[in-house]
Amino acid sequence: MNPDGLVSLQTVFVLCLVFSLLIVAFLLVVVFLRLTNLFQEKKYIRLEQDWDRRFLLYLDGDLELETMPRVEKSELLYWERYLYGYLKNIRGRERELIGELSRHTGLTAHLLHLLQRGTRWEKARSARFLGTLGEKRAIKYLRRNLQNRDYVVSLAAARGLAAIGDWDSFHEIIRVLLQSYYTYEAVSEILVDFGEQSCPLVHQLLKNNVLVSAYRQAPLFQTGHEARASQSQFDNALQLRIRRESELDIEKPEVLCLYIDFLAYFNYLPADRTIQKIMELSDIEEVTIRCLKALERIASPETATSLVLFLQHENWIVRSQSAKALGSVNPEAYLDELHHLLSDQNWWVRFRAGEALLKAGSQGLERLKQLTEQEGEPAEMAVYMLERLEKG
Amino acid sequence: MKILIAEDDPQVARLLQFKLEKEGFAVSWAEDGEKALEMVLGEDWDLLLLDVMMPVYDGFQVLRRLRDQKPTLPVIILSAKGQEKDILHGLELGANDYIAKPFRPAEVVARVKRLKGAG
Amino acid sequence: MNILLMLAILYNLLVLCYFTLLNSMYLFLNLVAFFRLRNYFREMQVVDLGRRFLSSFYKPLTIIVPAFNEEQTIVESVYSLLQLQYPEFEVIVVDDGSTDTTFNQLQEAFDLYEINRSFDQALPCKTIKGLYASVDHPNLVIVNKANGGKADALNAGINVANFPLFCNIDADSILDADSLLKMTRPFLENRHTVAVGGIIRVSNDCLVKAGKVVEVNIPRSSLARFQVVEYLRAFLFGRVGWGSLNNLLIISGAFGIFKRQAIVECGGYRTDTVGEDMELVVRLHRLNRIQKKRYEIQFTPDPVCWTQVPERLSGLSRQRRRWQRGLAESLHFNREMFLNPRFGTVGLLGFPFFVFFEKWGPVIELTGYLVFLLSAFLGILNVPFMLLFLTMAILLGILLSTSSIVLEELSFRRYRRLKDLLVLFCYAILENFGYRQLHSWWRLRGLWDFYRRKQGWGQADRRSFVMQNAGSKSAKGTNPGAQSRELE
Repeated sequence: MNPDGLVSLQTVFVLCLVFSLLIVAFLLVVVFLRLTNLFQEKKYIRLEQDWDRRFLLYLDGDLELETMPRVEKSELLYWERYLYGYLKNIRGRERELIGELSRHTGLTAHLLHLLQRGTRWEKARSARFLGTLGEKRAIKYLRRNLQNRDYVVSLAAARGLAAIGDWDSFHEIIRVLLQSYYTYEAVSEILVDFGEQSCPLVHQLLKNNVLVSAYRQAPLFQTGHEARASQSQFDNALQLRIRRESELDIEKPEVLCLYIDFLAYFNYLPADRTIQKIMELSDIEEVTIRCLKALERIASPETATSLVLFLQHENWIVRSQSAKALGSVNPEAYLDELHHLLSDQNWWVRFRAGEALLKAGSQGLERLKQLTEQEGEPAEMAVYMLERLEKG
Repeated sequence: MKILIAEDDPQVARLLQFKLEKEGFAVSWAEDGEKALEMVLGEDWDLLLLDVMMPVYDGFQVLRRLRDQKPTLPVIILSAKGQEKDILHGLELGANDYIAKPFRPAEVVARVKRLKGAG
Repeated sequence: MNILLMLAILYNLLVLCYFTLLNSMYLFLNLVAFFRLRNYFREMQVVDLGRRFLSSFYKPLTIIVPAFNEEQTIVESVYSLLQLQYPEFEVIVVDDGSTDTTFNQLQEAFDLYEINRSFDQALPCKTIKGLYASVDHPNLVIVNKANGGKADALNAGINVANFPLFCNIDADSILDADSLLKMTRPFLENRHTVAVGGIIRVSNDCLVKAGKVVEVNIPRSSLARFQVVEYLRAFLFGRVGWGSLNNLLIISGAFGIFKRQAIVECGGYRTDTVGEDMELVVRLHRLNRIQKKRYEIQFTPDPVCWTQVPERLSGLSRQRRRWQRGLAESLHFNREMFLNPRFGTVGLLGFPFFVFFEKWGPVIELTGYLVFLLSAFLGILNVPFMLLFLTMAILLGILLSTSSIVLEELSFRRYRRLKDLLVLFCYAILENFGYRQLHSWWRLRGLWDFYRRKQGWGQADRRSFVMQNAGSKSAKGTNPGAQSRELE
């Protein structure tokens, strides 16, 4: 019996043929791809050797720009790869030289064109190259690309703008990135591309936040002459703040955390008082913890005074981070408090307190030794700490 | 004066090699951790420029192993990792100096010259 | 008699259509995987890998290693884990009541010291007898507990874990140095990510140095070569495809990273199944959809975990029987999702697919062969027609297998030599003539095991966890942790 009604013999035969042909095609594709790849790599290596001969001399100042050979349009892609390989590792005068070379050979113009009209990948590559180069002409296209709904394009544009240091885009970048599903650690990572030179500006933003928060809590915070002196500052800051908040249209704590992380990353010491103030004023745990992590890196003995208050916080993370921060600043001044913390019910808090005492010099060591005579958890932690010290 | 560059990125290696050869040093190149270790232990060198991110053995592993046998060899660590922890780690393991990427080529040369004087 | 004839013919047709459907679905997945991989690699080209991976903004990670009677290899495995590249992580080894010298080995090698670290009993587990820290390695913790099985050990590890992410890993897996860094990116890039799976590749006969795979070769053993093709087809492109459709139902127990909070909220691993890794993921889908929470379960194509695959039939068959049983159990425990629109695409596409094709596949395939042979023998078939139809079905299967090799060439190109690639291509063709059928037979037995045990749960398998995953280890396989020890 033959189900002719369902499907004919011919159809099945044709299908068999099609499949067999496809299989053979796959085989050919595999071989073809491998060979093309090999060919392209060989070509690149040849070009590289050719270019190296003059490029390194040029970079060293031994060859003038005019003597550098032209690059064919078809080779521009290889040229970009070649130059970027050096560009990403070098800074200073040589970076500028590469910039001039890129312009001279027409690469910059080509990439600017791709930045506007290329595919998403071309836009991203161009953003990366031009950003690293610091090419200011790219800024207006990058700003446009930042608004692109395609995350590949917008992300590359954000990185490019940060690398160039286009401060005017700072808030826009934060706004766009936080609107996506990015965590704010990922956003921070992009913002630090703005570089250390942006710290004073970020610090100013942070200060505006403090002033406004303080203003809102004026009775608790402000005393006499401080209030008067900074009244006008408050008004200005408030105006600035209101404008910014409506621009930003996102939750305050996330943005604060971004600013704090930024300053902590660069160990920006002048910000320690501001961060301390924020820590005191904020009632959001996440912000408090960020501040503590930052203070561990940049705190001074004056700021340490507020750290002590947090040693008794209800959240164990806050307690342990405060102990950790104190350990970096001046644990010698707070031996009693740290000693007391060794009886905390949370192991991590005891651990950090113990570490802080270790850093407190001979006095801290004394305290730990005293504890070993006793019983219980504080003693165990003390023993553990001393053993670690021995092991070096 | 013989310098060994341990670096897996060929462009960085070529650049440094060029600059240093111009200053009159004899420069060799190892492109991964294993090769670097072999070469550094196999001959006498005056300086080692060591990248951290390399295949097979990373820079720290190489440093740890070579310090027993070559305690006086000047080592400069060269790496994209610029964070404090890693700088400290490198110095603890016995490196003499540390340069973060992206670097100024002139700076690398200056530091090499300085260590040559000291070593 | 006529009815019987009709039924036989219809059944034959049904089986052949079934296979056409199955292979077409896999081809579709491969197509989806192709686009996803193409995007992924272009993205990688455009972003500086170096900068990205050395970020100082990361989420700290706990690596949980369940161990039972691993005295031979545990110390070396732990050493190689401690060498992994990640800014901040801890390693928690859970000694699940080993009866050999596992714990003593650890104690000696790492200078252990009992501690009183507090942890919350977020998930139920057998009694934890003690926690130990190491003086040399402050980020190592050993948990000594009463025996409860692998899932129970994992739950204990999760309880003790301190960090927001945890990584579930087998003691003998070899990771690429930057695998952890790459695997955690989805957690940074998307707030909703709860689980990420990575690729498992076959490490038989690869050159391993310092605990890392340095040279990728195809295995010498035929059985292992079949598995390479299979891993590419099903575990690589199949899962990338499912991942893109947000329908990923399996993250291998050998290599997966999870958000601790999300796992605690859904109750941790089930201790009454052999497929605890799959069951967890299926349950994640189920519970998150019930609560209408936004969530992402992803599969990152690039970070790799290398593992030894069994080279003897006995080891392989045992392994596959267990996997099939685990699959059936995982589906069974979450059966409310089946064809239930409440669970979106997972309920309507992914889950039913697994039930019809992965779970029942072996049954249909093998009965299909029987009925076909019987019909041919009884002369009730138009043999040329059926043979042609059969040929077509087989060709489709070959097409599927070989398309995986093409995809591999288009994306990862881990096999450097063209010759290796061509050998794999041949095995992709051969796979359909014997290996697949054998595989179905093992899976059928696994399914049978599932139904038998449903009557009453037998005593827990107390075999070493490492053995459970590799089946029998290859005699030629190198011990992954050995080299790294020298460098300490």
